[in-house]
Amino acid sequence: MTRTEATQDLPDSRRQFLSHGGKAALIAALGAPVPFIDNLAPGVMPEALAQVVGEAKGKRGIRVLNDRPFNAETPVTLLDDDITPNERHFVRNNGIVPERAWKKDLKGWSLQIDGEVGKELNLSMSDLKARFKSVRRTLVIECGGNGRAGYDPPAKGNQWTLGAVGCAEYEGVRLRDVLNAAGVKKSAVYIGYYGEDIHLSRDPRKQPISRGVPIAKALDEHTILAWSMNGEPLPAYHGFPLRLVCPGWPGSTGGKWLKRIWVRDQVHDGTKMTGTAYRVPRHPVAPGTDVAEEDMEIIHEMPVKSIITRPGTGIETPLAKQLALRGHAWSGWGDVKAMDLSIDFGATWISAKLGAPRNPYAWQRWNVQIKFPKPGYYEVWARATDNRGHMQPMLVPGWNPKGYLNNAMQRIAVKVVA
Amino acid sequence: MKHFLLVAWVLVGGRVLAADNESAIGQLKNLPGKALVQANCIPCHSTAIIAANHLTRRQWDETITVMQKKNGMWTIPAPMRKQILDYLEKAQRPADAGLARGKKTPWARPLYRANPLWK
Ligand code: HEC
Repeated sequence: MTRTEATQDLPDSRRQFLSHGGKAALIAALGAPVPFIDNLAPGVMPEALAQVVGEAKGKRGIRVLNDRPFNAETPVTLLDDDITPNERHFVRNNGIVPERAWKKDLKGWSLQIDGEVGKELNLSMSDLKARFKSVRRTLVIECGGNGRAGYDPPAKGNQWTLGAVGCAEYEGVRLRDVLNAAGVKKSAVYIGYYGEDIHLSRDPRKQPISRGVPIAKALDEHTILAWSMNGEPLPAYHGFPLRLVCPGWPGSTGGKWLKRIWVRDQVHDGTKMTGTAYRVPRHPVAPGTDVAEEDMEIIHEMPVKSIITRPGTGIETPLAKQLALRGHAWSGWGDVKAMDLSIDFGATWISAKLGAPRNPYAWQRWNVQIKFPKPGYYEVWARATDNRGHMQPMLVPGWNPKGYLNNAMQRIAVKVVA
Repeated sequence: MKHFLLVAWVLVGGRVLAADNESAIGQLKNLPGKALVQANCIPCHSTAIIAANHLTRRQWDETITVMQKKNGMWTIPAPMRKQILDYLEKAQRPADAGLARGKKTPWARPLYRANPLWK
């Protein structure tokens, strides 16, 4: 196929779409002997290409965005497991991991519950395990800034692409059981967490991050205090000895290296609760707008989203065979009810088989077999629809100053050969 | 006085340390002012977070203010701030063709196109 033929047999609208920015890359790609991507083997990201750079104890195949503080995301093809292994789970750290976590040392550790409670609690790990019923939950944790790299003009912070998400199995206790044991007063409005991580400036008076959730979310049956991740004590990067998980909400609401939960009579005002952190404009704004702090509101539920974990982008597939695709879908608002794919730039949709979540807020497996009508360049688009009927947008959604909540459909390039 | 000492430390100590302070992940471009950026911006975090961000001069200026107000960064004399901003404006501007690392990731490439509403 010649270069011009590649786009000639497309309808106008489609040609226009392609020419919008991807054309040069597309044409170059179609002309090249290896389709689309020079250094990517068809199918799955080779592990050799997904090597760790910098310090990353206990991590494999993960892409490090920042070494100090440690921030790393998972290449999307390495997120195929139903349960993300610890070594593949993304990390968003705001400060320095405390020594205790590296040494797995519980000496002197306790969890304090105070503020708007009838009785302050100071619980050791064995108190937590003995006094409260333990629960096991498979839960998606996604960074509020996952997809930030898609915003233009660029938004400040780590440039996450697709992989700041994972779904692991946690064991712990319900936060509500612990709060109820302390006796939550009527005046309670919010909780704020404090962890043992160290501020980058090493100033002991500063917290790298101290966020929280409204009391209703804290008392929700699915919000947990977890000490184990996939059957192991929490890894150092993931908050040993104890972390909070507030499923469906930005990962930053799940404080790590936990030492205190302060029940507040006002919205918590700790580090990264105020200003523009983890907030989006109250009203949609044009890209690049300056938004006043008072016009920003705190992010609660994360929007519906999905990923394609097989095949990787750039695959070449024979026309005669069906192509098997699969991935996961999830939503901060509850279950995903439909998963659809398009191979014709959104004109028609093919529904995928969608599995049930292992429990609420776990991701759901989807699978589909697709037969392509003729040889050529295709993009496969993947779109999840949640219980509320909300779908993933085709383009990057509402621009916001800090680049949160990008749940645009993932697209992969597929070359079908005769 | 405290600030003066810090500045002195940064100028002397920072320059000595600068060469080792480059992160393997995100390296700073060689342009005038790089040493000052290394000296002032790397005591807390690595170069990676700076190399990953592409902002206007005004946004970089605001970023430095945030570092000072919230993150415990010291005050710097106005001429030094200007040199740092000159560097950041040139090396890390939004129009940078290299843009963020994420956009260079092969498997994410089809997803990340320029926002067509923004010209
Ligand atoms: C005293 C410590 C300190 C110094 C010095 C410092 N920073 Fe920071 N910086 C921080 C902390 C803390 C964060 C938050 C880290 C995180 O969220 O991962 C941060 C984050 C950033 C970010 C990401 C901002 C965002 O919104 O996510 C940028 C960009 C940045 N710093 C640039 C700079 C530059 C440029 C300088 C030098 C002029 C500098 N920093 C000096 C402590 C510092």
